Amino acid sequence: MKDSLHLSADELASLAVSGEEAPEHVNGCDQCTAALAELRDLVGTLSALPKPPERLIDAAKAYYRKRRALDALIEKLAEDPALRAALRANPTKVIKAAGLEPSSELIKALTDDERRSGALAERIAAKGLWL
Amino acid sequence: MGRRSSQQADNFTADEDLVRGALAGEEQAWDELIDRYASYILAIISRAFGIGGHAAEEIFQDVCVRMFDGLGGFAGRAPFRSWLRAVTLSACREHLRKAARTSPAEVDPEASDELGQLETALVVRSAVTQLGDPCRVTLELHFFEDLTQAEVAKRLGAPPGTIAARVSRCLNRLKEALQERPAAGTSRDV
Repeated sequence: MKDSLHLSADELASLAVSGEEAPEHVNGCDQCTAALAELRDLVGTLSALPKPPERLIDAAKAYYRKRRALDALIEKLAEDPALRAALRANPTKVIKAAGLEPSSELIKALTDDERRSGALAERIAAKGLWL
Repeated sequence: MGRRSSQQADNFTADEDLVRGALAGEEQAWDELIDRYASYILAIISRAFGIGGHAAEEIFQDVCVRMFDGLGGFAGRAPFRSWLRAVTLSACREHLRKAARTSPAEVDPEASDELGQLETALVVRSAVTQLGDPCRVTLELHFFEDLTQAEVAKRLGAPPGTIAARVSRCLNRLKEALQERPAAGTSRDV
């Protein structure tokens, strides 16, 4: 087989991307066959990981901010009796001021003195802060 | 801290640095970890364990929560992706135990080559992000965002023929870059 008949690297890549049938030369040429197989494998690998739904990506990113805010609030509550009193008086206001959505689950968790702890934050964060 | 959208080959941020950034309160570091690994997490859930739909999303959420909680304990002795893989496998197995659909022993992705293939895909994806533009953006749009070449051309404002030629050229550049990469296991692999 003459070298001039070999497909160029770009021609082989184009075949790999398009999935088109290889020209006759490739079938009889070990060099081109191997190169094309390698590129087809690479194309398959590039497509192997699914694209996650945008809302999942957005929720995962937002979770970090919400969770940091919750952890900071819990830390402040542990240190500041006045803030604890404010929370008991108006939980919605305090939670909103911390940048969090005052869901009933979060209010209940934060206003229960016995349950309020770092471990609690972890538990409620999983469900209450997502989305 | 470079976001994926603006990341160039010369400012690739290692996973360990992103972990440190996230622990220090840098939102962009966390966002970058999510951009980098979300598809890998979902692939383990859906391809290696065959879990889909709402359950897959619940496990994804659980993995992100565990990731947040566990970052402080990530010592960096092993690559971050290995740690995240273990976290994801654990979340999947726990889900299966709770769902009682099947015993964990009946679904063992570690016994197959599936996880290895996903790790290879992750390494290739990482190599794409380090190619530099226009290859990075062209390959990302075509292969990761599932856009056709015509759609990529429209998005980038280039003639379709230019994009077709660029995809082929960049695929070969990627192949060469992968051949030049150091052995897997370093922090820059992903």
